[in-house]
Amino acid sequence: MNGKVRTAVAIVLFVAAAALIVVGIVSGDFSDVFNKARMICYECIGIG
Amino acid sequence: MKKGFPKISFRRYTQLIAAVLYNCNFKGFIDSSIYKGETKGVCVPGLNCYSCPGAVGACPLGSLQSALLSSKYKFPYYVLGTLLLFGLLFGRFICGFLCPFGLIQELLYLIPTPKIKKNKITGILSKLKYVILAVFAVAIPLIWLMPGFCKFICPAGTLEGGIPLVIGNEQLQSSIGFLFYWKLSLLAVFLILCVFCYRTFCRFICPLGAIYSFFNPVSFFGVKVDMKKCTNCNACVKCCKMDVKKVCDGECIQCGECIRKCPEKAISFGYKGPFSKGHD
Repeated sequence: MNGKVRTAVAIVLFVAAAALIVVGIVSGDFSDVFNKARMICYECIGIG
Repeated sequence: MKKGFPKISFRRYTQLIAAVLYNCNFKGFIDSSIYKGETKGVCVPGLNCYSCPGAVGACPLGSLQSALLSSKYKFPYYVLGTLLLFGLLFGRFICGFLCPFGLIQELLYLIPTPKIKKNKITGILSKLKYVILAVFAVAIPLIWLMPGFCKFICPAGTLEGGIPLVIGNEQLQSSIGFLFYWKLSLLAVFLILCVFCYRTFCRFICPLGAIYSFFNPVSFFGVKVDMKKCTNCNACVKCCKMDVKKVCDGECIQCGECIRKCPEKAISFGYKGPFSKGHD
């Protein structure tokens, strides 16, 4: 991948990542992750 | 020659600090409970089970599967954005420096035994993690609505969450069945293999490593090669214990081992993102 293409891809991805996080926080995704993480995940520990 | 304690590298310190920071709810280990504070909504970069009694953040892979379960109703913006950001900033540098389960595997590899060196078979097996990602971390959550990787495979969940919680909780002890023993057996297999084969789980199985591997060529920080100095001697690839074909390809965990081995001093750590000059 040449320098200019790499730079363009990196900038587009960075803006996309920032936008996704902001939209996610505003739309309540953060709360969904929080609500999942604050409870014991029975699948993760091999019970459920 | 003087013999003393082996020198602990900067990378090892970083791995240890990351593991402690991810799991600094020490009280949880004493009373077999998990942390429920606000930081639990923030994904950490490395594979670290959010049901570990010490965990103060969320596992990015567990959060991804959980978000995919409900993606029919809601697009998982936050988790995908976080994974994209981590991948873009650091790529698999996270595997090499910021993953507690990677640290455990590396410590096991220090046990002096005959070692399995990388070869054609390990090269082929290194593609398996993309299949695991597609099937267990994406397809099963989307189609069967269960976190396939967490439920059937994840050895980090068993080691960091399952074992400490089950030991200290009688109610959980009475609930264990085939699935727990299956995951416990898988954990044992991975841990034993890691003694003989470098980072077995990371190289062949880890879906989080597979995700970050896509970003290695464009990540902002990590190992970079000065192509003006490089003579293509291949010393970097030969000394690497991962199944790399060149520095910073998808298999490279950016541990920096090749920096010391490069005879031309062409490899270094640093910023390689937009507007950086002189590097490929």
